[in-house]
Order: sequence, then C-alpha cells, then structure tokens
Amino acid sequence: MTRDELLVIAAAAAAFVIINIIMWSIIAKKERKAKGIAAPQNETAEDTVSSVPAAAAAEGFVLVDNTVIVHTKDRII
Amino acid sequence: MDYITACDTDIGISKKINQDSVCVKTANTATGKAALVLVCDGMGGLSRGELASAEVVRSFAEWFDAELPFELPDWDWKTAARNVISRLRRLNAILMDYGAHNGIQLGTTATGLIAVNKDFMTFHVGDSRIYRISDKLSQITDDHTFVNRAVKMGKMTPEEALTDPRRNALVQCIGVTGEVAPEVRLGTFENNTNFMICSDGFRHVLTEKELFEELSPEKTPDRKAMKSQLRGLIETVKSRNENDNITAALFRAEL
Repeated sequence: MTRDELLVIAAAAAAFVIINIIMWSIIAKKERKAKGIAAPQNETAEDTVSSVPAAAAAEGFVLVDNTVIVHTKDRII
Repeated sequence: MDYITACDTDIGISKKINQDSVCVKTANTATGKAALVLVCDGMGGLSRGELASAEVVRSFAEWFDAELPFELPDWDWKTAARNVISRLRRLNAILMDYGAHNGIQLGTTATGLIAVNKDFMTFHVGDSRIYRISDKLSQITDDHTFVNRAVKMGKMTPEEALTDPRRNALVQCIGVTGEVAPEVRLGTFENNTNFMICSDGFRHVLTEKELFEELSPEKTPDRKAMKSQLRGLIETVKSRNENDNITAALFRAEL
C-alpha cells in the first residue's frame, strides 16, 4: 500500500468514528429528554409519610396522629 | 382534654393527578397537647402544583416534628404567628425561585390550624377555607380571590361573583405572587366545636347546610365517624361532577 492509500483509509476510519460519536450522543440526548419529561410529572402515587424520629428527641413529645399525604416524591428543599 | 382529627383526599373524577396535599398531626407533650392541621391545594392551571403543595406541607410537618417540641416550653403565640408568616414567605420565595430557574409556574394555597392546649392559631393564603361548626356553620377565613376582593370593594355583587369568569383567580398564593400577606388569627377553643379545613374542590358543589349537617360535632363523635363523614361528602361531591381534586380535614378539641 502506498502512503496516500494509507492516508485515505485513516481519514475514512476517523470520519466513521466521528460520525458514530455524534450519532450516539444525539440519540442519548433524546432518550434523556424523553425520560426527564415523563417520569416525575406522572407521579400520582399517594405518599403517606410516617413518623419523623426527630420528635423522639424532645422529652415527653409523643406523636399521636401522624398523617402527611402528598402526591409526589420530588423535592425542592 | 383531647384532640380528635381526621382527613381525606381524592383525585376526583377528571384530573390525572391529585395536586392537593394534607397533613394532620397531634402530639402529647410535656406541657400538654399540640396539633397541626394543614390543607394545601396545588394550583390546577399551573404546572407542578402537586410539588408546590407537597413542599409547603412537608415544611410544616417537619417543623412540627423537629422544632415545635423545643419551642413548646417557651411557647408564645405572637412569636409563633411571626414564625408562621416568615415560613410562608420563605416558602413563597423558594417556590418562585424554583419556578424561575425551571421556566415553570407552580403555586399552592396554604390553610391550616396550629393548636397548643386550649388555644389555637389559623393561618391562610389562597382560596381554601376554614369553617367553624358548632350550633351553626361559619367561615373564618377570607377567600383571597379577585372576585371576593371586588365584592368587598363594592365593584361586584355576590351574584355576579358566582358567574364571573375570573372567580377562580387568586390575588395571592404561595409560589406565584411576589409578596404574600398571610391571614393569621388567634383564638381559644370552645367545647362541641369542629373546625373543617378544605380545598375549593370539596366545597364547590356542597351547600353550607350540607356541610353543617354532615360535619357537626354530633355527627362526628370520634375519629372513625369523622373519617366516614368526610368520605361520604367526598363521594357526594364526585357524584355531582366536581372536576377538581377534593381534600378536607376535620379537627375538634374536647376540653
């Protein structure tokens, strides 16, 4: 093989690799976006939070009723 | 003395997500009894209303569990009122900041009652309501709606308000309006008196007569009866084609 032929093969291989990287990164980005939109927004399960142990830290403080109903597991704070 | 309380919530017949959140907590403490009852109605027209209502409920629930026990020995209602107003304003700023960073608008009402022994405080932002039910039914919160304000200013009649297209528009809620001015009231419990806190979805299609008759102290002698009466009214609301989420909590101090 001549030097020119080797250069053409190397250039073609490099182009193939670059095109693959670009293509798969676009696909991955689209998949991430689709998951991001779908998951938290459709969360409808009732999340009944149980007792928080911190209450036990104060002497004589005993929770009697303890119902907290929210409809998402997402948090801001 | 004892506190009796119950709550219930329902997604309703047409919404895909329940944006309401509710919290009912009571505790025996070294200085007596304490309670927190809170209903938050995430804004129907706004995205992530369920997140807004959940954040407010979680914040107050965590305060009850982790901070209140240590505040009780030096409990002072004026300080407590200032702290509640600060908490609501802080939550408002957090939700507004979150919305701005994520390009969304999320908001919630916040209407609740804090009880310590024979005394209580109500706090309120939005159009959820608190009713006092004894030998009569009386609404003890003011709706923070555009039409209610217009009626009070004499610019609209109560009849016009019922059909005005802006009847659901709020003049303040947590997470949307830059400034919030929570309505806070202090009081002392009386025997044989229920307090009912509800989202607008619970009360829209029920008459005051129905609320009074079904949620009177006589009809709700214990927690089980409270729960049953609330569920019965929620089913009635659904049968009348209410489109909103439906949430209510009931509380009584037995002196």
